[in-house]
Amino acid sequence: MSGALQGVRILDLTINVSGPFATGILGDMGADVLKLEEPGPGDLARRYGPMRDGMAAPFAVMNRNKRAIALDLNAPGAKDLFFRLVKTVDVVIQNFRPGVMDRIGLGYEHCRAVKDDIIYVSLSGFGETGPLSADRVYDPVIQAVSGFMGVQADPVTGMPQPVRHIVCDKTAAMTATQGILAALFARERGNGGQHVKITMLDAGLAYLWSDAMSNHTYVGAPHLPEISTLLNVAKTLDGFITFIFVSDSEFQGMCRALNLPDLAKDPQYAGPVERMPKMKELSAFASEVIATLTTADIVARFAKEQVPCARINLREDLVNDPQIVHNKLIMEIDDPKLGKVRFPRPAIEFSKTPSSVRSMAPKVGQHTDEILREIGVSADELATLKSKGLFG
Amino acid sequence: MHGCLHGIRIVDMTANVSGPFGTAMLGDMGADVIKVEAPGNGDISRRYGMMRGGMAAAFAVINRNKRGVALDLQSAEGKEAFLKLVASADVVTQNFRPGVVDRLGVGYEACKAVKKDIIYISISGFGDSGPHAGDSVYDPVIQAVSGYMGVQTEPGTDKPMPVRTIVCDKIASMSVTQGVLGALFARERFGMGQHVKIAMLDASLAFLWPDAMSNHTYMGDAPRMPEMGIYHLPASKDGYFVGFVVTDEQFQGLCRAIERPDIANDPRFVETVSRQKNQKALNVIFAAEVAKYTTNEIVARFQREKVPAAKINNRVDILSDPQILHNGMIIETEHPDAGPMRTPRPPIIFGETPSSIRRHAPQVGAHTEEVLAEVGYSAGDIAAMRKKGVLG
Repeated sequence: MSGALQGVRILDLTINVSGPFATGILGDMGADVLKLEEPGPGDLARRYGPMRDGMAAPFAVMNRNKRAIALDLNAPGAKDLFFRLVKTVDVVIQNFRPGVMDRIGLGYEHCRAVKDDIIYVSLSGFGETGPLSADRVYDPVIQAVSGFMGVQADPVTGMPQPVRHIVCDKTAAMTATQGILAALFARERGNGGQHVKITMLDAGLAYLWSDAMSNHTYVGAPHLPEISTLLNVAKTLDGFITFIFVSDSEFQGMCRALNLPDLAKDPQYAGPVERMPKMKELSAFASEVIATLTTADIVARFAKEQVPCARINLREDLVNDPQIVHNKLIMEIDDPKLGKVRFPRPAIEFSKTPSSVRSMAPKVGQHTDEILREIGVSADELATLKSKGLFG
Repeated sequence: MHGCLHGIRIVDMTANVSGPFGTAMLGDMGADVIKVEAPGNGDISRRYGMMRGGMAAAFAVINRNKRGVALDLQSAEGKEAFLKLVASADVVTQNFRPGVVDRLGVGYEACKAVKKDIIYISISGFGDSGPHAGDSVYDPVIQAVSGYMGVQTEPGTDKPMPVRTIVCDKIASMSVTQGVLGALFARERFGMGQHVKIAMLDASLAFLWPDAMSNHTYMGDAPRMPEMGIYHLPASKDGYFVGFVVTDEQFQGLCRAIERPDIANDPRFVETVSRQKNQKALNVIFAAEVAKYTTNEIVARFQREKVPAAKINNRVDILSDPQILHNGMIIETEHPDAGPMRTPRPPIIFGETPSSIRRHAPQVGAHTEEVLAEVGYSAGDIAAMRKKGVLG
């Protein structure tokens, strides 16, 4: 059996990360994703990050399993071709600025007119209306507004800090993936197509809220230390570890592992709720002992006492981490153009409908001819359209 | 019209965050989520962080739209009742340590025996096997191993830092949601259930990789680039803000916004790829100029020149941000036990099958009688089970 979305076809007009990362996951699940770009440089993300053979590494990872078609949507006759494509797909997804698709005549209603049960997905930064809806949006802007940078603030200086990866774009992408999958399911059950809207700000906040905003959830309740105070990073003799003790047994285990019997007996630290406001001092006691031990020693001690703990992997450690290697998590592909490339396999393991990586990210318009032939464009017609400059 | 998953029943044995946050998103989409807990204290996350009315705030947010059933799965009758529930369900989710559900007799095979096309979701920290499979796992452990803390290392200090929200648990849960939805779609179309496995480590690395590991994607001689996501947050006169340039047009806008026409044609900055290489030098110029303005002034300047920028919201600011309010992202409601509370609305807007919040997070076993009655238990049966302690 092939992937869960075998037979599903997606017309993807999105660029950068919020859309492409989502359709990348759906492509892993077996969907036939058609990446439609403007002829020329195409998706801006093709040029962000380390490049080889004209393609940036993050782009290569997020756009695997896709076929590319280049089409100048402003050229005469292009719209007709666009709608012929729409008729053959299940999902259209776009992340242009709010209003653009309607203005150029390619919005939900236009697509629905040619494909009654189309699932049309609109991704925006701030939403379709409202004070910031017209603003330019990239990940750090949403990190700033949705609270990620505020939550990440240095506990001592209070200075805001970014999360140092494209967390809000990718969270929006995960949310969009869910929206598309759920809409596909609902359509399969007879509910027809629909317009699905996802806003990066909304997705970021919904994702962040539960733990990070817990002091602002119960209105009027006195605030407690943030849940993130449970997170500990400590220096060892030869590196860094993280450890966390939540339950009583983990707390007792930590005291045994670090030889702190007095702490274990101290009534002010008895009970997880009681420990919560004292995390800082407890973590300071622990860190003092940890600083005198090697990483291997402390990790073994915590493991023996069943205290959650781990060595902190830096980027270059990841590919050699024994569990990551055991999970066969990182694929290595030898591509004729890109050379040796590595990236993680699809994370969800379906026993009957396995996800897979079937092809590498395409060049702008690499499959234009192939896709147009599939939708019934004849060789003559293709030649005529080409001469009109529709494909760049 | 109901949500996408109206008519779908999920029997949810998960605790903490990786499972419950995933099933909450499915509940928002209309699924009937039955949270099965051990009688007594139930899910450990009921008691973590801010509490009121016997329920932690984070728990209340990620367990909305669920019904609570308390069952002792170690007893024969408890197990029998559980399997009756499974027979009435579409999906079972569990995040016990690897091997535990099989030992208890509620694993995939046992559930499949009572419901042939069941979708069974197993969530683990590290995977089913491998050097760390038996380890205790909380979010920071996966943050350490999957690279989040390494990537978060503060530039200049080399000290790894945590992401200060339960990022890996929540990423895993988004993968869970996708796994459930993908499998539901495949069952609808192809007719079979399956066992779907998600490891927090795998899901986290797949999420982190595209941008954060971009220097490790192309192997061999690919030249390294400055890491993406090292967002520069310069100080204004009265705080911090984020301003961010991706396109060449935005760079020109930036030069106007900070009144530095002299660098508008500087070959170090004028083009995308060279600008990435010289980001540090640009940041120095940028920081010196923006320090002359207040946050409001500089953000307004950037917005006028169409350069992405925003002030950085802290937790309290979120509650009054005009765009967040405009989007209606924060719902104020009244929990029967915990009192007035705020919770984010479901972020995906479905045009035809709207998601909704229909119920508050339940206390342990709040709906035991109701749910058992639905699967055929009489009042007498239930009373007898309660007497024996099967229901707590």
